[in-house]
Amino acid sequence: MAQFRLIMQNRINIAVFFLTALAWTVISPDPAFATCDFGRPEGVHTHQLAHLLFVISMGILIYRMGAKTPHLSPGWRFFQYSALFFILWSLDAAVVHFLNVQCNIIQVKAVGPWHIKINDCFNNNLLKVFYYLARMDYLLFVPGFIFLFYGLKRILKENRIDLSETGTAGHDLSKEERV
Amino acid sequence: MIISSLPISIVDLTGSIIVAVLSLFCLNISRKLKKQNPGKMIWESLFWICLTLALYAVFRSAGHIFKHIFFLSGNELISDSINAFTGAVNSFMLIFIAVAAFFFTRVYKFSHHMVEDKGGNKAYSTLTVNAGSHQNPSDDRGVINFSVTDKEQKKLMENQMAQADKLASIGQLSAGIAHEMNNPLGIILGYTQLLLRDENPRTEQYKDLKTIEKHVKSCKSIVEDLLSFARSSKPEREVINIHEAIDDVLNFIVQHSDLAKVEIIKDYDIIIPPILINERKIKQVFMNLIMNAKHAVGKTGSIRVITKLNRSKNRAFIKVIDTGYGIEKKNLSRIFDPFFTTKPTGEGTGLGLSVSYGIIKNHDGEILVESRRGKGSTFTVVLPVNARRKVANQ
Repeated sequence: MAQFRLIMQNRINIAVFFLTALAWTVISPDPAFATCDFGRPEGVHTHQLAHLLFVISMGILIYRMGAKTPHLSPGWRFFQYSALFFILWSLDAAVVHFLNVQCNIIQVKAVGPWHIKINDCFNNNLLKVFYYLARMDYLLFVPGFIFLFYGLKRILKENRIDLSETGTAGHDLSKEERV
Repeated sequence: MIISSLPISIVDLTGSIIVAVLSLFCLNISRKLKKQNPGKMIWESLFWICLTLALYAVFRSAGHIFKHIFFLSGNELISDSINAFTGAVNSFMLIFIAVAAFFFTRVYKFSHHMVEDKGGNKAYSTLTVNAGSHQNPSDDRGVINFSVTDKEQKKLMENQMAQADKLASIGQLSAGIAHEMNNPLGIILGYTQLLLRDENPRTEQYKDLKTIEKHVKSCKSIVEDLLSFARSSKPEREVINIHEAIDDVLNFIVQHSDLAKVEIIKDYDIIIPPILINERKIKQVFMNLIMNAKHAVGKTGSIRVITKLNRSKNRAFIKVIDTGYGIEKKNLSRIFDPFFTTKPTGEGTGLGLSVSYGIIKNHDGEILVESRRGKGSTFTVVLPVNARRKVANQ
């Protein structure tokens, strides 16, 4: 009984606090802005978070498919490989954004139409070479799509064989099969 | 560090084009998959992954290509503004792809569970291993026994037995109803035919009576099929030549059906001795099988009737092979179930094969089916040829 009284007292206290706060905002309002103002890097952070979310979703996809089906068919196996390449590409792109835009560790300037000048905060040539190579993110993105394309082609083929053995919902059974 | 930007530009431009094209191809394949399996969430969600990926790839590629064009043409300001805009859209699309991938993962998991529940595509089955040991009294040597039981198989067999029990109950119940309905149907048919006799064929009433007669006949045929399915009494048998029985059926079908473009091939093994069977019933079986083959073949194709004697097993094999549409794998286990039919309503009762199955079982025989969709079906009737001796002994 005493415990119940204590719980009720706590709830009443919480309710009183929120009602007082609400009453205060109504009685004495401060100037408010309709939208919040963010600094310029907001776009980069959002983009980086999107890359992170993409990596997590693809990682979960690979893990769940592997965990649920230990012996995946070749089509789905290719699909998994494509997700792996997409993860690598996304990480690569995120690193490039981090070095160049987010933290400004690397600065790139065009020197004429066919050359660029790469500077970095640490004056480290290895970092510059790494950045230069990482900029060619399509070397990871294209294999991802090639695997996806072949994977889907195989899945389509497997699905056609499966349907020919087990039937398809898209056909008029009454005409095709008489028992 | 000044370095050539050419490799980056080449990889960027060619990569953009390849990715845009491939993504559209992927979208097309996923659309085909969705179309092939309408209403299935797994293909729907796969399509959404491909759609979001394609949108992302096309947008990103277009952004990169335009950026290069404006940069090379000296419009760096336009290039920068494109960069900001495509960056925002790309972030948005990346989130979309991630959501689609999360959704696909859930759907994949659930569809996998559903496949498991249906008992299909299982990679593993649960085995129970019991082990015990005892002393062999003859030579005092220890013996270890292992018994391995497939739990899934046991469960499947239990389900099949439950299904068989259910079918038997339905059979008994429907036979009772059929018996009660047969007499009133006979009376309705008799009176209808009496009324028809005095009616002018041109009148509206004559047409109505004809409709009643047609439907009563249809009802009677269903009821008779049901009764013969449920009847378990031993048929009256006589020793007959199986080939003559098949020929009678084939002649009847050829005379009464349009088989002009259907090739009928007979391949008889003449060493099959006369078999003790109920001729009327066995003819009914072949009639059902050949009529089914005829329906499956349609207007053009072939029906082969092959007989063969297996001396070692003392069994005659009669095969009816057609080049028709075949039977779907999922329906193969159900074709002998009473009332199972794929024919349109009013064309089939779903009792033909059930009745045939019952007749062949009563003859201590077997009826087997092999079929592959699009390749045709083979029905094999196996009949014992030593039945004659058995009856003689009795």
